[in-house]
Amino acid sequence: MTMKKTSRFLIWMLPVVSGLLFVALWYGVRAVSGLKSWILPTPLEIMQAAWQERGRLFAAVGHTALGALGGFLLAAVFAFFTSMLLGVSRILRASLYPWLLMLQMTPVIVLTPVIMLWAGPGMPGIITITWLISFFPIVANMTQGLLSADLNHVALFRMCNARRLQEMRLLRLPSAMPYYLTGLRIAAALAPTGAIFGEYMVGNSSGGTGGLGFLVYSYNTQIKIPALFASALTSCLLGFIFVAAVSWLNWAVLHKWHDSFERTDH
Amino acid sequence: MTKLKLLIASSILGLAVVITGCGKKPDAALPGSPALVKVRFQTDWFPQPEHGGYYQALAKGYYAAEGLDVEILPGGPNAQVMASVATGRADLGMTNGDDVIVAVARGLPIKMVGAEMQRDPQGILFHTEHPLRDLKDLEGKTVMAGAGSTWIQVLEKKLGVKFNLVPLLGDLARFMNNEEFVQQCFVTNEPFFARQRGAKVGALLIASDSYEPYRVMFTSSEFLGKHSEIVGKFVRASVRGWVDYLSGDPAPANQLLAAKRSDLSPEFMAYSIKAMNDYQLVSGDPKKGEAAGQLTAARLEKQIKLLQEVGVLDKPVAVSDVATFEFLPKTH
Repeated sequence: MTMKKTSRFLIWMLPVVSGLLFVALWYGVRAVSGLKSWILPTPLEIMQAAWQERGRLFAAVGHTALGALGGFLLAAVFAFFTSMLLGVSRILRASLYPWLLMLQMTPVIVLTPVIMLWAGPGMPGIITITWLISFFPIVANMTQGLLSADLNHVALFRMCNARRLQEMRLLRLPSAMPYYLTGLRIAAALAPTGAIFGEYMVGNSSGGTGGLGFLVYSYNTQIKIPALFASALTSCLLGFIFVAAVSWLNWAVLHKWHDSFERTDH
Repeated sequence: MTKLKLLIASSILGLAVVITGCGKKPDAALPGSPALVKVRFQTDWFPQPEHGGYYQALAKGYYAAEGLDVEILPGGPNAQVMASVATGRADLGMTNGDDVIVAVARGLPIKMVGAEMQRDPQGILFHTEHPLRDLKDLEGKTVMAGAGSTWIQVLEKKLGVKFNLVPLLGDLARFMNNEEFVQQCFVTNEPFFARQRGAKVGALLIASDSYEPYRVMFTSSEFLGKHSEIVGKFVRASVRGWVDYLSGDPAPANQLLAAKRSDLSPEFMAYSIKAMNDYQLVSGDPKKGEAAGQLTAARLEKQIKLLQEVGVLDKPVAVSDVATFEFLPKTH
């Protein structure tokens, strides 16, 4: 029992220690190299910049969160139904999957001018880009989930003459849920990045704020490098909030029945 | 299974909220002026003093006096101003004059209707420890510049200047670190920030006698055909706005700009305005007979020839295809 306690304490302390070491190294490099603050700001300078720029960062992160949430929700819904199509029949899967792959392989950066023309600049374009980036991990995971239903259960359903839709609704969908949620978790980490990329590529700062991607432009041209680092920190925080929200969803949907919440061997 | 339904339902609900949220116009028209005609004007970048004349015309009611309710649409990276206007997402737009000439040659149905600036603000930023007096001083240097920029072709093919090109990333990090480094800039923009960080810098305007691109206002052929009267009013009010912004009190426009760009300081805006005046970007050189808003067929003709010579333009276009002169301010 004591053994277990120390190890838990250690688990909490290790990242703190490694973090402190990293910060020490950072200050060391800065001191030895003599680099100026606009090339390598210290953590303190970054925190100061974050505090000075807090109004702008706060407004920007709200804008980015909106874009990320929009793209993420679109992806979650579209991916859900796309996977159903792919999971329900082999013929549909064979006819659609290669084209989906092709879309996935196309770098979003190549599509941005087209997205700009079709969806429009600003929020519509940003949401489209975020959607494109978040969509595929969910589809890939959930389709895999639909195809991974327990064979014995499938046999049982077929023996009882269950209709295809019943099989989908009562067996395949529930068993695909953990996969779907895993896809959502990956997408949740990608969505804020996607939104910032979108703002950087097709943003127009309409309405007075352009999100974190816009601030990257602004801080970069104005050589406010500590503030640039501060905006990186802010996007990091946004990413954590997204992933935490989906982790909570994962728990809410699965903890009553899924093995992963009962087993203690991992 | 209710959990699952809940999940789907909440996803759809969330989606609906986002979609309806996006449909709202951020800058709704001012109430109480139903007679005004709505005009959407697309700019090429985030709101900045280089768009100041339009904001001045808006703030001082010059557009309203012409019966126009102008919405200035902010641009940004990949703004695709010309495509926006050609597809009718915006009624008019502004961009570099060269770009309009090239786009017309590629078949975009657009036309210049007036000049915004007599000279494009593009310049070369240098440290005063290693000054540039002339574009020919770039010989043998390493220059960070937008690959494919027309002025590079002009310099290499027309003036025979050879230099190394490094792709432009839009930041000043390398420049600040190396006194011999030179890079493309807007004379109205980067010098301010480099000086703010302690560098001694100068900026050489790229526009010269051999290459002098306008910055222009343009519209689509369709809009021009149907609403030429609106175009005329817009150009007139915009030029009035520009003249007032640069020679009068710029505060009204700067207030609008500050509301959209909290990151731009008053000192920066003042610098930008001073640079536009110092380089005579909008007013042009009165000695050459230039004036705000003016476009001349002779200069456009010269520009088209130059673009063809350096291979930017692969087929000839007529001046009458790229511009109309009917809305220009009357010169005295």
